[in-house]
Amino acid sequence: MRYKLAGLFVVFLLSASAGSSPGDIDWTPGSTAELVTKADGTYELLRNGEPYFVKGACRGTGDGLIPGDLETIAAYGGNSIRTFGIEQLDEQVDGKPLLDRAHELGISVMVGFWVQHPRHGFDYGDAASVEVQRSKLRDAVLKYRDHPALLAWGLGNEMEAFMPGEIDVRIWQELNHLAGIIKDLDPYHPVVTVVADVDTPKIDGIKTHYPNLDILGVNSYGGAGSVGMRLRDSGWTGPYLLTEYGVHGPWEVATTSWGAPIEADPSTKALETYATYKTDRDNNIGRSLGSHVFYWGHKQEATETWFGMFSPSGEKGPRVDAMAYAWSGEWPSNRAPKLESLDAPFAMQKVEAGATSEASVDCVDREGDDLTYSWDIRAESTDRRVGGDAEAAPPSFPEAIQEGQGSARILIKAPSQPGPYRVFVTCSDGKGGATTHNVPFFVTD
Amino acid sequence: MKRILICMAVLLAIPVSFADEHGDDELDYGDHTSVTLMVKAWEMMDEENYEAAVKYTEKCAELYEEQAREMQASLSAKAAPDKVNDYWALNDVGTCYYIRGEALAKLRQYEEAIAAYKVVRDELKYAQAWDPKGWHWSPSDAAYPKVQMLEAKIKDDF
Repeated sequence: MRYKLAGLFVVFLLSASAGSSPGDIDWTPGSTAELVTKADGTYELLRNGEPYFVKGACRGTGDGLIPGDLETIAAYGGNSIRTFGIEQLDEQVDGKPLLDRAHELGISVMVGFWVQHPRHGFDYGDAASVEVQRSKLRDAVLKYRDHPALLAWGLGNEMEAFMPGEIDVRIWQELNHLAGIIKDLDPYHPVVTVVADVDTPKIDGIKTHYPNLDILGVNSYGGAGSVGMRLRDSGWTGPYLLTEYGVHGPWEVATTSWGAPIEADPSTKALETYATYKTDRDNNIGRSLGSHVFYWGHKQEATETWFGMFSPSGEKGPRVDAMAYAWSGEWPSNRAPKLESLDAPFAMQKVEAGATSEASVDCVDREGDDLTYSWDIRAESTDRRVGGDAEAAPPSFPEAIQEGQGSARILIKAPSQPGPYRVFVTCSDGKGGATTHNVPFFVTD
Repeated sequence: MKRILICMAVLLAIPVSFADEHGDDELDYGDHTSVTLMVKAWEMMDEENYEAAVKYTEKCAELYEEQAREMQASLSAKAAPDKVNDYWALNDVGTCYYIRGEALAKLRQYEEAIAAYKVVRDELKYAQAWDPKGWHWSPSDAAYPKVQMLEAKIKDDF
């Protein structure tokens, strides 16, 4: 009880200081991030007084975490990560809290605070629920505001999206209130709110109802390269971060006749990721403050390979190498293998149950490493969701691989159960690099 | 009467000259409007007939690029939604150059594809294309990452 009273007293003191100058607040920031407006109307982010361009990644969570992921970011020229929920900061990395380990490696953190979504049932008209969220935010800011790894507060992620009709303005109004809480408690770090792509009504809503916002974060995939231009056309004149980007999403690509999205080959995905980073950086100087590539880890979303930049076993893929090239201008000394072709006559086709067919892959390793091959037949995902919500992985059918597992050529026997499937292949170099690709097929009676 | 006959002769000669010029009697330029040529180019993309898509975009530019450039020169920003259709030539020709870039990239003619994308990116940048889903998009904006991708593809080993 004594601690609780003491805590209340501290909160009271901090609340009383809200609105006063930073010098009046009785705590010392471990870092600062200041947004500077230049004479020509462009912006610059100063971290600890130095110009700072965010070369970041969206860090995996839970099962999607990859051992050594932070070291790889630092070694490959990245300088920042983005988290999504405050509980991620409790994760231990190399035996240390995430923020501590990030700081050791020179990596800044855009600390995400998960603002609840109406599509998940949150009611912005429910005063009690709203207050609980505010209270959690206060606790989080007080707990982490003095950490030197802190770059910015990532207040919310796509909370406005995937609901029919116009966006509920109470979301923007509440974000404005929450940002005010942050600013009162921590005037040393900017507030970023992340939205799902941009359009004029969304920007109008933010400009009207959310004046406390410092930096707009935008998640975009197929249209990521044009976010800067589209923000300009939508009337956003402030700074922004490209907070998720990478490859076209499964909702943006061609599909098979049965509706399965066709995943691009790994080289194309690496190229697209690289080109998006460069396009945003080079064409929006003074407006784009940097970016966070999606997804530095492993993730089931449509397929197990669509967004994750690492294999489930933790090997880096070509997109990781592409980011090293984007961030540092240098390719890593050991690159993931290159997939030249995946030859499967049944790709995009319908085949009878029990039919047999060969599939082969041509992978090369630029360093001459010996390659190993792993094949997997999986059902098409049926647990498809929106907004990156967690999806269950579909079942695997190892018995469908009749011969050749572990080699570059296999014999497949189509599963007996009719329906959509994919064949995946992974080429690994044994030195931490792997390249994976897949093609869909459909089994009929 | 003489003038009418001359006009008729010219009109009758047009399809022949198109066919001869391109050496391809199978292409149907329809009513030769910019929107028809642009739509046909998209259709050819959907059918993976990239050579035909290129030809439709060439015809689109041949007939309407001058007007498109005049419209571009008259603008200082993208036209407002209620004025977009006033700039039909700019929109269609700009979109045709974007499609041309797409088609040439599919044909692995990367340098030529980059050149096409750069025309719409830099010279017809206020063109707007209609998405049947219900909004306009900018072929110029979309061309930025395309140029970046193809330049990287040529230069680097991805």
